[in-house]
Amino acid sequence: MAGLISGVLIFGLTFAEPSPPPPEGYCIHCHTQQDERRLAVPTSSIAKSVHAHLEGTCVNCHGGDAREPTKRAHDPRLGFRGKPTTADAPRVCGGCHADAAFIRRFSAKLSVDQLSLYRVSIHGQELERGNLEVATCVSCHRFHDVRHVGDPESPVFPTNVSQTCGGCHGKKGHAATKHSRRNPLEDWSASVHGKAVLEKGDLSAPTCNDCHGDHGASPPGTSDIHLACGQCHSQESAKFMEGPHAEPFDRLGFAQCVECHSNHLVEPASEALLSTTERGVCRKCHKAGTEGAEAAAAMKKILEESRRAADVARTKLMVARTVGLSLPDADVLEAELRTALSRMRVDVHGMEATALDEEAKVVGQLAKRMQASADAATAELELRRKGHVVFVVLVAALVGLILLRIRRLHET
Amino acid sequence: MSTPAPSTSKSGGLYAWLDARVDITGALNFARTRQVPHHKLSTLYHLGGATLFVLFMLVASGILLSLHYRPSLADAHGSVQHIITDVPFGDLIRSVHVWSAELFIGLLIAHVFSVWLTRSYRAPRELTWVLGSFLLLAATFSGFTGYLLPWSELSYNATRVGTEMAANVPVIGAWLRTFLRGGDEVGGQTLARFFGLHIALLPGTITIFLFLHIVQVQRLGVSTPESLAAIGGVRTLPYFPNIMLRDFAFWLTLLALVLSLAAFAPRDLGLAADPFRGAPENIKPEWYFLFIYQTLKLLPADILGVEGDVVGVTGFCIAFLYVLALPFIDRSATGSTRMGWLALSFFLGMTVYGWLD
Repeated sequence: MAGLISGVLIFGLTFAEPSPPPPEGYCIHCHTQQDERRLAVPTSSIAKSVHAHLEGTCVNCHGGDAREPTKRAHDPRLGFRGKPTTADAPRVCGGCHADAAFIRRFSAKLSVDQLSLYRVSIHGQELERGNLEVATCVSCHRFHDVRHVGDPESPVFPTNVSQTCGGCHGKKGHAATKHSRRNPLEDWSASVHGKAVLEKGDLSAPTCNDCHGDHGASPPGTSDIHLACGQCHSQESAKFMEGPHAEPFDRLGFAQCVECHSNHLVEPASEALLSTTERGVCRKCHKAGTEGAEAAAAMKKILEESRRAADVARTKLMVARTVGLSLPDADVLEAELRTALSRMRVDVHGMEATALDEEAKVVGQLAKRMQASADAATAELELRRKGHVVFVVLVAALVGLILLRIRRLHET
Repeated sequence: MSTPAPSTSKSGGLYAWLDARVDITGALNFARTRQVPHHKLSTLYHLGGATLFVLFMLVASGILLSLHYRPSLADAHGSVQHIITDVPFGDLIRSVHVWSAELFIGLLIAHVFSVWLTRSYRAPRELTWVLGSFLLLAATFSGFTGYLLPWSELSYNATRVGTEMAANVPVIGAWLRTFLRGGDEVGGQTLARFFGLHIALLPGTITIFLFLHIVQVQRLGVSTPESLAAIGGVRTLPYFPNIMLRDFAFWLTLLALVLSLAAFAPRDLGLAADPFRGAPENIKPEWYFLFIYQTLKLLPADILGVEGDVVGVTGFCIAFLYVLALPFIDRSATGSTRMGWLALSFFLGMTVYGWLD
């Protein structure tokens, strides 16, 4: 009898339909149940990944055959490679991301040049030399929890880039910082760019990859810096290259924009840069009394006078607005004034005092018109308020008379 | 009373001409027959009339504003900007409207509490109280709808928060939010809807309720507080001219106050609303909603498994129903005003706390 039952069971097991794989797939299904943390954790972090919805998510990077839960899944003959090594990472990621036909299935806008750029980057070249401490794809994008670059939780989202790069380049004693005495992460964080990104959440402000590149990361050369800064400050960059400083800077190996504005610790530009004080930058090359120093002093004077005129006009407008006056014409003038002041700052890069003079005249005229607009509105308000005081006095007198009448009524 | 024959000659002057047609003398004689109790709390009687006077200012300035206002997403903010800058005395009219609204609701709240604390809602004035309570509700809702119309950053976000709060009303919450917004989000549909409510439906409702309220007050007269009535000896004064002159003095003072506030503390329009920009920091509702806002803020997120906001809003709905039914609950001849004082303390306390927080 027992033999018969065993025979039926064996027959049943042999010819029964194979059970369908679990909806989450064999890899996730088994690894979720693993006690060993290193084997179980990926199952939860992959769920948040941009790759989570891909077919055969795990085998794309780890190889093997996910259609079978045990031996075939981990069979090296079927491509199972386990955890890809550091040296393998660019090739594994590039397996999909450098394949235009494959990537196009998801978005025609996704670029496929990451691997080729990485290979010419400092990181890629170092890896080629066998340096395994160098950054690869997973250093910046993580491995299982790979987020879309537009996801605020992605390590390469603009507000997180500095911490991601700074993980190596901001670490004291790290090979990546040996060539510099300063800490680029600390410098950038204190800079006008860093504050814009970190404090104001301005995603358009530059962070590490905007100047150094991302996949093709490399430090810009001394003669290329105007191209990096010129991505945003195009007019300043163009003026500089047209101006008298471009040639000697190139000849002497000076680092263009960086010479005056610093590289990571870029501070808000002001007339102080043209001064003879500690913040002054012209004095580094142009000694007092020389033609260059006098030109710097003349430009500083023009800029200061224009700024003062603009400040006076703006203060008057601010006072007018504080008392509730709305001045739409003055708003337009203020916008024009801001543009004119910006043009003056651009002109400084061409070292042309004449161009500055022309702009200064425009600023002066705009400031006068703004003041006139604010004064007229304030004068009208004052007149109206005086009229109002007269009205209130009359009302008070009328109320007084009524109260007198009420008293008389009471007396009678 | 016989109706005098209309005068055709000009010998009697304008008064006689008008009197023959609209019976001014008859109206004055009626006012002289109206007697109003005169005692230490009789100043409170002026609150109702003052509220009505401020409502007239509100309506007059509102009509002027509506001549230039355009209720669309593209034009709303710009048209208010145009009123302030280009229309002669436009900024003054807008400020008068805003300050009148604040004062109107302030006086209305003071009027309600004065009636509550003197228990003047007692029989036979139950309906007067009920009508007044609905007036308060309509007035605050009118303030809420009007706040959105400039389509500024503050008004947009306040409406978003306010309509979200409405979603916590029991049973009809979700529907109410959609109804108020005219969709899932605050947008052009909400603006058009609020404009219609603010200039037509709510003023119409307020006018009807106010008319009925005033008819009731005229029919039943004003109530003497029970504590003074018990002592006896409360003398009365004729409405005309004694009380009317007091009303007139009070109204003139309010007119000067509103115009002074409009002239010396004009209300800023602010930036145009941008749904893609986050709400400004420390955003707070209008002062008359502050006690609700602050209470909801203090409630824990979860109360016995129910969302804190739902509990809070349900509580306020029950409180309003209690206020509405007050004359029918408190029917005794000499009842306690403890609940009234408690409500006033809660309202003032939470408003001040919300203001300072």
